Amino acid sequence: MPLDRALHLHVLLNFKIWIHLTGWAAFIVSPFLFPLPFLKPLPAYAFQYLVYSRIGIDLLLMGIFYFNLFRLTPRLISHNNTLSFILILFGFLMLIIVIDSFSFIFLKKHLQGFFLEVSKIDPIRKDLASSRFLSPPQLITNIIVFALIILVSSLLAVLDDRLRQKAYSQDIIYEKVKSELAILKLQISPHFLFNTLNNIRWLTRTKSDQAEKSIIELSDILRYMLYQAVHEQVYLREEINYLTKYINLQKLRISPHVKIDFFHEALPGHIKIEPLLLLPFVENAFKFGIHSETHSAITIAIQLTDKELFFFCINPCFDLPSHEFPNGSGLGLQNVKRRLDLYYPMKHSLLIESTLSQFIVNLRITLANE
Amino acid sequence: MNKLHCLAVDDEPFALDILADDIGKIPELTLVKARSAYEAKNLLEYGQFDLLFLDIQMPGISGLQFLTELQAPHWLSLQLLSINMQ
Repeated sequence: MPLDRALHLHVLLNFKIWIHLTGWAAFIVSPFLFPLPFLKPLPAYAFQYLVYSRIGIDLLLMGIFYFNLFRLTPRLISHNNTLSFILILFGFLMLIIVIDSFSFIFLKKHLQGFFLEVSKIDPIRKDLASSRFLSPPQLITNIIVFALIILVSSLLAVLDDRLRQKAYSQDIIYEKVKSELAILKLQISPHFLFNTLNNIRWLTRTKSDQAEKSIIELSDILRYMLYQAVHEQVYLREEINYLTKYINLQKLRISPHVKIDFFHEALPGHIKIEPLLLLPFVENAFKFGIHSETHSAITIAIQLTDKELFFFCINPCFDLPSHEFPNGSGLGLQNVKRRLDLYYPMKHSLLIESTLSQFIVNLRITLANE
Repeated sequence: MNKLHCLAVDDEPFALDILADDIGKIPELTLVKARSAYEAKNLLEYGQFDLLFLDIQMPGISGLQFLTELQAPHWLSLQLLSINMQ
């Protein structure tokens, strides 16, 4: 995991660096891509000087860009220091204007004659000849460029901040869901537990051989729930073992005229599944499908074809406990539905048919192979 | 001395068996077992009972519901002992 992270960071950083480099290359080179006509006849040293001074200013702007991106705007976001933010920006702008003007004036002093000539030919370029400190076009250009620099770097900083916040809240949601799932997995029906203990109590009193077997089965079930179920996935074989033991314990309390069938063919040993997904259905079947007088039959079948698991459960529907409802709105079935959605999104189908006399569950899950 | 007639209502067969076994050890008590509230209702129509052992969580009518539906004459003669088998 740490190696993956390092690699990802490396790649990401590279990508970002390339974007920045390209941006700056374009920014620095672009003034020289549009040749100003009056520059053509300039002597070489003057041209060189212009290039250097322009690049110098650009480097300064670059510095301001990154200062704003990493320091100024983040501070503004977290501390809300609008006034000092504006003052600092204003200070930088003044700095740029002053430096640019000085460098241009320096050049003009040396090329006084040349610029006089240019202004005669091109009256629009009159300002080049003047010895004014701040020439309007230059001023406007500087302000616009500065504004763009600040705008882009601030936007990037805000974007960064938003993304970081989003990732943080995603993390929180993830942790919350994880712990919810952990709690959902560990739900054992207290009713079943205490009933079984009571049944074992009777078996011990009558000195039945079944008592020891039932105690072992119960402890196996509890162990499975507590230890295995905490892991991410379990072998399908183990889950079926667990269901078999559960059904055996249920059989203790069932009258002979209730027929229980649990069909599961020999399964390959490497198939894995999320634990405790099938138990709620089996529990339900025993809760609603038993009647002390009437004949009833519960049929449960598990089949595996290729990577698809089929779970089938049918039981008659007798009178329900007054505090519960059919059709899966009980807590146990709600849990399973939620877990199915979380672990096998789009990879399962759950069909529950609830008529007056019967309750049928048809579950299909596409299992990923380990 | 008159024996006390008990009625035990529970959907769990072993729970009834345990109770029957325990009550069987007390000579002054007799016990009739009922596997559901319906059965208990029928039995109450035709028999006189003095003690009622009632499980609360049962399929169909819950123990408490069963109690509220008991006819008045039965109340007079009934001493209630309620056991929640959970």
